[in-house]
Amino acid sequence: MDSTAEILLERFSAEADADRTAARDRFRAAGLPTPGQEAWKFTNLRPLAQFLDARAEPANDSTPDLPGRLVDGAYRVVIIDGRVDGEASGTGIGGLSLSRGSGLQSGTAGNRALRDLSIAMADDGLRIVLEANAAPAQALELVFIGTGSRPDGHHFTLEMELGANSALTVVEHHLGSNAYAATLATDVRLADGARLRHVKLQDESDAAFHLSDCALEIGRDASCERFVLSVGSRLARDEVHVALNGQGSSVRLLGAYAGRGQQHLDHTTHIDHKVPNTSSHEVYKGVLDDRSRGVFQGGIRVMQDAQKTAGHQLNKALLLSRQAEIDSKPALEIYADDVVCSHGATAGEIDEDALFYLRARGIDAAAAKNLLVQAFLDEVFDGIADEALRERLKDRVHDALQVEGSDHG
Amino acid sequence: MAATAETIQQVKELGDRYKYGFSTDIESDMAPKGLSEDIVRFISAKKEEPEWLLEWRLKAYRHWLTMPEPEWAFVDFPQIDYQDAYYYAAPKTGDKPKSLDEVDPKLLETYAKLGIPLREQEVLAGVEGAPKVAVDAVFDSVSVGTTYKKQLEAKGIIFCAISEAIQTHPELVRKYLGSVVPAADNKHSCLNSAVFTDGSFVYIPKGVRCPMELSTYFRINQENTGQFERTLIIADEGSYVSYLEGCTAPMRDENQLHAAVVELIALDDAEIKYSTVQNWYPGDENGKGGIYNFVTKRGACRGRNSKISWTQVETGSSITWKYPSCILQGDNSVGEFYSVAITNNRQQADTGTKMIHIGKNTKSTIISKGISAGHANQTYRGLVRIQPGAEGARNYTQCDSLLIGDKCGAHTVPYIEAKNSSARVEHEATTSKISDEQLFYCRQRGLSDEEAVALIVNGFCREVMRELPMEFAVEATKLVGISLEGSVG
Amino acid sequence: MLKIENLHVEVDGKEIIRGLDLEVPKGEVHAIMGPNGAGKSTLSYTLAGRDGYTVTDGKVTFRGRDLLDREPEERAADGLFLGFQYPVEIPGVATLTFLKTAVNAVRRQRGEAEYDAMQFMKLVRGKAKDLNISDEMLKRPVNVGFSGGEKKRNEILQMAVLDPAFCLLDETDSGLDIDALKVVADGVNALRGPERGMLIITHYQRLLDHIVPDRVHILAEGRIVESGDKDLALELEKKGYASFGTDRAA
Repeated sequence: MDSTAEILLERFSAEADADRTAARDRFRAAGLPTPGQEAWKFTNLRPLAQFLDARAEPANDSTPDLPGRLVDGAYRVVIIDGRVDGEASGTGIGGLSLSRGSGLQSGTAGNRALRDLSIAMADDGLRIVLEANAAPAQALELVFIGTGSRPDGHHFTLEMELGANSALTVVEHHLGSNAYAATLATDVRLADGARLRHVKLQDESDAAFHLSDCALEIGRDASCERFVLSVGSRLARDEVHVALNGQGSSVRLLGAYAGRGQQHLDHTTHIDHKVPNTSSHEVYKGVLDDRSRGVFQGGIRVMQDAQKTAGHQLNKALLLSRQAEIDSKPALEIYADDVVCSHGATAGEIDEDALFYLRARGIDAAAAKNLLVQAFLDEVFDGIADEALRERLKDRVHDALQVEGSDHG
Repeated sequence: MAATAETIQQVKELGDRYKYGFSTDIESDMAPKGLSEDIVRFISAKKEEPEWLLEWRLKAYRHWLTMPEPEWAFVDFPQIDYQDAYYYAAPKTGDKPKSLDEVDPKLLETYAKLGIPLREQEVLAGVEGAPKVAVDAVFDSVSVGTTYKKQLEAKGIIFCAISEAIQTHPELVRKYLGSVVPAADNKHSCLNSAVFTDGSFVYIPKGVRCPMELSTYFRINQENTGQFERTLIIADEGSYVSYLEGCTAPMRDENQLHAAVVELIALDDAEIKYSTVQNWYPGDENGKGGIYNFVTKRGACRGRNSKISWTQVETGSSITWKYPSCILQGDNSVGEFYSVAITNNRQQADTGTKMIHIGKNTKSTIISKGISAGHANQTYRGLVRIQPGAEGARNYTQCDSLLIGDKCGAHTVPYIEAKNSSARVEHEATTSKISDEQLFYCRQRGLSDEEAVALIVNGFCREVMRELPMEFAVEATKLVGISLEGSVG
Repeated sequence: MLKIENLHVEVDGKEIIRGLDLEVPKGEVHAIMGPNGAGKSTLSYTLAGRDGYTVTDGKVTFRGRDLLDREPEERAADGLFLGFQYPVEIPGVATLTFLKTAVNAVRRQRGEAEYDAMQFMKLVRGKAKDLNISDEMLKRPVNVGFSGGEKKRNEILQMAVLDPAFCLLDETDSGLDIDALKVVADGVNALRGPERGMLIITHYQRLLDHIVPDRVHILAEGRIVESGDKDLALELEKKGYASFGTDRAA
């Protein structure tokens, strides 16, 4: 096995149960993914290996400042360096119960090494259960903070179980300071008719590694809307695997990313249409500056029984600098004939004509550029229903781009 | 009636589903079964090759031994037993034929059945005003004759078997062989480099526009033989050539391996148009037999303003593994890939292209139309890479898949790598089935199910079909219908 | 020529045609008028043999033979032509190619010699000119990007070229302005003759100003509720469908 995997497994608990041990063994056998593997063709984890090899000193373990809420009035759970901060049990939200501990099993995931790593090594976990028919107005906000006190990796597992015809909004806010490697494995199960709105802001420290793997199982007439905004991390991978298991189920995956410096931002999605009459809709848009690199891998698979499937995916990337790079692989794998599936991908720079038009109207180059970038990304943000949340996320991406914008003029 | 259309008629009368499924009873001169350094030496000696080429072959062979089988393609087949095949089979004619008149009449008969106008008068018998086609025919492993040689020579064009070119133009062969597809490029091309037996060689001199289509017809006849032809086409500055390639094989229960390598080189302002109609035996409806078509085709646009255009209609073979590609090195160079692939019954195809943009203002267009029927599986796999220096590069890709029946699969796997912000890359893909409305509309006008499907599919493929030279387009259009027989109803 | 007796048709398990009787002798032009949902399109699709239109009872004879057990292309070869309300787009297939393929498919089924390119072009050019259809339009893919009027003129052209024994025109007037309507009506009238039957299905009376029918039938809730001469259409125009509708059909 490779030494990086060994470092990551160093703190493996002697008391671990059979599931964790099995996950550890699988990760050990597989090792850290390499670009030789098709699923990791465009993302090389060598920087992570180098970082772990260097054995960074732990940063001072001081209590971090909490950020403002992304959703007004949301019930908040704070997770610091992979451990839930304080008690998280009763929320006072009707029908919603939270419990701590990592009970995630890796049975559903086929061969995803980092998921195995999270399960084997999770320091803590959170299980979220919503009763059937419950539809709390209050959102649940999970704040993940990395402090660098445990640079060699902190790992967390998250489970969400939504009962029949229930509805919930869950927001994840990932942020931090100093250097660290964070992994997160998530399992979401939506019972028949359940609706989940899932919003994730990945705003980790610029020196951090963020590796997240989310599995979604969607039942009959259930639906999930997921939005991810990635602006942080040195290297991040946001991986989502969706199984549309019930007739009438649907999923919408929206993503926006803004890369700068040497950031590497990977969004990998896979959607399985397993039964008839399901639909998926996917739009990812990214803006890449400096020497940053974006990766989009989208997979739609339509199984033989899944007639009347609609699957659409789109990835557009705007390259703001000569050194920026986008790699895109929007794949379709279709075994049923009565389907309407499509994908599209574009890569290019800001429309010079539009830029000139704005400047001719007196807007300076930097402002004009920002305006056009914002307009490019807006389409994705429009998918967020909560207006205050949408504006906060837009501001965040705007800030991120503004900072670099001044470098170029 | 054009010669090809006439052939279609002739072979139709043979009555079987696979129209080229006859074999020819000709004695063959064969190397012993199996693959070893000795076989490589045997082939090289048979061809009376210079030392450097033998060394090149041996190096490829040794490297081949170390290479794993490529496994990333969506194709599934049992391990190939490379020792269970013959790597050299030549029609036994005693001494090499000095002219076409000395070629075994049975061979000529075979080509007549295939509609290969080996004899010039057959071409002349075609439609008045139809362009002339010069043909080099490869039978199992050996080139059996090239037509129109003199007329081409007058223009300085070299069109001959590659084994002949090795003798007569060693400097050109040595300069360009393996320069686009290095021996070690992939397992199949590496094997080809070690054991290739024949193929065509084309050189178009500076400023010459080749006055006729050049064509090679490949046929695998002998049982248990692999066919490893090697084609090398060089278009010197300001020249133009259009090249056609057709393939057939008899029906056999065993799978036969075809691992060809085609290299194209276009220098400044040169243009090469390469068209293929691939109709190797696809196996029977249960997937028994058929050709493994593992082919490496690549063109290098070395010069400024050069252009390479691939057009392929792939209807045959039990397994196709093929990615005709363009390396766009010269500034303003252009690469095109137009493809129709039809898979029916148990056929599998993993095919597409690579467009590597290196030079400034390079342009590429990819139009791929995939049709899957029966229990077949088909994958479009394509790479568009914009290198950092490719200022102003443009790519447009469109790949559409059509499914006929609910037991088949159609997959699309594009890879897009953009490393230059001034480049623009656009990719669109759709997957759908033939609509019931279209079928009913056609049937209301009197077309049968199969006629309706053939018509609609040909419409679906039109953007590609119109890129084919006339003679080929007629044949290809009919092939669409033949390939989809039994797919509806 | 066309005789329908006690026809019952289901679509998706729902009965749409409920005991329809109708006879169109050769040489006559009949019109069927009816409100939305009366079963007009169901009738035309059933006669042409479209999948999903299940005949649960009744009988249809066409030119003395049972029609219902035959494939759509056999009905076409037998001379039944359906002018579609919504002509279908077939990308990539030139209109001319489509026409030639259809004409020769029909001729082959009838045991007639296929047309060669010259004969065919001569045939099409003449008919296309009458319908104001240009060579350019014939080169375009079937119905792709055609305006409403172009699509309907294309239907009539196909009808003229295929020379059917019986024409079934489903809402041929929908989506046409008055000029286009006249062109289409002239095309249809030119095909009237002692050997040919026609059934014109329409919602509005205005088409019948241009193609004057021998008989008019009113279809409501899947049955013919009233039959008469051309004046019935005018009466209907004045009184509306309500007076012929559900009450009297029930």
